[in-house]
Amino acid sequence: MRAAFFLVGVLGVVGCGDPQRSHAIDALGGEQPGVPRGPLHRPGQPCGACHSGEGPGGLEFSLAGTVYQSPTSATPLVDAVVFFEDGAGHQFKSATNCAGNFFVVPDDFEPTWPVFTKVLFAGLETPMSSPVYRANSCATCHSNPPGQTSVGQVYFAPPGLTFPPSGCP
Amino acid sequence: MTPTTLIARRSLTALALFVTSACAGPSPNDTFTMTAPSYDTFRNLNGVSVGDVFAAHCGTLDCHGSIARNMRIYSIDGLRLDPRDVPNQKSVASQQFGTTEAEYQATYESVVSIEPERLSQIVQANGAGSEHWLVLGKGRNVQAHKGGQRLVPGDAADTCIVLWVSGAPMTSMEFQAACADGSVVVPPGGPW
Repeated sequence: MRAAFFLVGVLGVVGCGDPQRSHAIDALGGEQPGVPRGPLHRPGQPCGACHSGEGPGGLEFSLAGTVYQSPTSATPLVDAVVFFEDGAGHQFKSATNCAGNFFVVPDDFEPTWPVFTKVLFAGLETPMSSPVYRANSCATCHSNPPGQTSVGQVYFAPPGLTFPPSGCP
Repeated sequence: MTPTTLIARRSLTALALFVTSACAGPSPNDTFTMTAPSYDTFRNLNGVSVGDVFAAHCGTLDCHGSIARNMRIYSIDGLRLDPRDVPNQKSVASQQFGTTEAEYQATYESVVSIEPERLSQIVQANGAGSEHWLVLGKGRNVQAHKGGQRLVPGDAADTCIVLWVSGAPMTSMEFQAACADGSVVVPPGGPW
């Protein structure tokens, strides 16, 4: 009898997970070889899958993503400023690292939706054409390849522009 | 049989009859004829489509621009209807940039499919009671809405939708102005 209660208890705890989120995390696959967990890992993936406060990512993000140089380039846009203005008029800036990743933690900025955003680089700016209403990961809507339900990766400029050398050491 | 048993039996019989009749479905001859708000007005070829207002306020890819929603909004900036098409790019079929006619039609059908009986009553009453329609209730966050408040009573987008379900003619300046203003969402500090 005790064993049965124990089993039910274990099943109850295990069964409380969000299967949809678990599947989304599983679908991301493993870490890229040679890239440790941290701010440079998993560029282009939906950061919020693991970093939404429920784990397994240790840090919670209110906004996060990856910026590339062009819509077809796999090269990240490094040292760009990602500017946000939320529905209440609050503004915040983040910056991309050598992987093109940026992230914002709720202690620094917890936006009131919708959020308007633009990328600033070399004195130029590229605004996003529509606001973000609830997704805290760019890749929720900006995944590759572009398709019926995805606009493709976040990029700064059309193909053909020359950028300074970039990438992680 | 004691009187108590008799009462119990009769009560059970009455209950069974009540339950049986309560569970009966509608007659096969019952029909519902929908009175939908006009597609012509929704499309509004003389101005900005009501579909563009839904697209701007509800139809981003992270909200109702998703096949995961009952109310699906199709547009150039969000979910595309043709699986070959990509947001913010020309339609493969028409080689035109913008929301396609088929997308406006699909959005219209999706929107008017939300509480069709109640919507019919509202349309027949020239808009009276529109605040009870789920689409406006959720958009205004009066009814629980994961996306929060996206429509404010009296603002341009809300007015455009209310006037549409009220049967406002396309010649109405108020309707045209509300839909035009309601199709654009800008940062609180003004356009960038």
